[in-house]
Amino acid sequence: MKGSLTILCCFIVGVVSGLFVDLPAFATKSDLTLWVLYALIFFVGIGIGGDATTFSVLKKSNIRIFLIPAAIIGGSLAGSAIASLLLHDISIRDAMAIGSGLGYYSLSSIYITEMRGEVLGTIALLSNIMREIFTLLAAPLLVAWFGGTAPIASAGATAMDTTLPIITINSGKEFAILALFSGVVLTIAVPILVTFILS
Amino acid sequence: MIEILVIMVTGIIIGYLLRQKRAVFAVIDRIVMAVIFLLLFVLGISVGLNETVVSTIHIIGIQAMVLTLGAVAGSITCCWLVWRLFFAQQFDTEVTDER
Repeated sequence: MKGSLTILCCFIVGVVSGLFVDLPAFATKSDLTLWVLYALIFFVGIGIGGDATTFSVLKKSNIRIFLIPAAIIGGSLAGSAIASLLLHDISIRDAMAIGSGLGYYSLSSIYITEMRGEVLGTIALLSNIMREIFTLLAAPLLVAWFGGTAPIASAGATAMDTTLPIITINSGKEFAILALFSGVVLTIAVPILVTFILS
Repeated sequence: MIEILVIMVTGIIIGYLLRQKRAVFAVIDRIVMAVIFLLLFVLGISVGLNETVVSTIHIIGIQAMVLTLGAVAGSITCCWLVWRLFFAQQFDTEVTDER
């Protein structure tokens, strides 16, 4: 919980800086996020490689392991379809397209903007950014309430990069490879799903 | 995406080679935490600088939030069911065996 609050503070300080502070050029280039992410992935990789229990999830799971990303896709589509019933101006199909973004906001919002216009594209962008931020902030609670797979499900496609460190810390290193696997499958699935649902 | 996988695999190989040196990993965990804080700060900056997100967040933010909560709740539920049905028993035994 303390970790989550610190992370929230870092994020809020970042937003406020972006809004009001005249930042030096190196801080505002979008490349910076990418390089910090690369550094993070590298160190997380070292942690995973050195952990004996890391590969135990994959060892005997074989083909069944695809059930995890499949369940995450099914749940996301069903959940966003149900949620759209609360919203008058978003159709079930559009809601499912947003849900099929699975946290991969850059790609899904571009696709949805192209196929359905900027309003829905922006909702997709916000919704999928929220999914990532929610996972980063709520990971400790999700593990406590719903077990080690919950942040992997919540993270969706981001489980292979941005949210992987927080999943590894909270679910345990034995879930890291499962998170990575699920994230990779979902990342590949996003463009296929969005196109399929909207066409 | 390719870059991410290459960097990750490089890290995993280095970590595997260093696996006997336990002291290294205590430091690595601290570095990871520090870099997460930095990443969220940088992510916050890009959200704060994005005028589309800032100017529309109060109008369509609620819609996005409702959809996010639905999608996340659905994913967690389905994934939890699948894990309970197909993985949990085997996984628990296996991890206990190794400890």
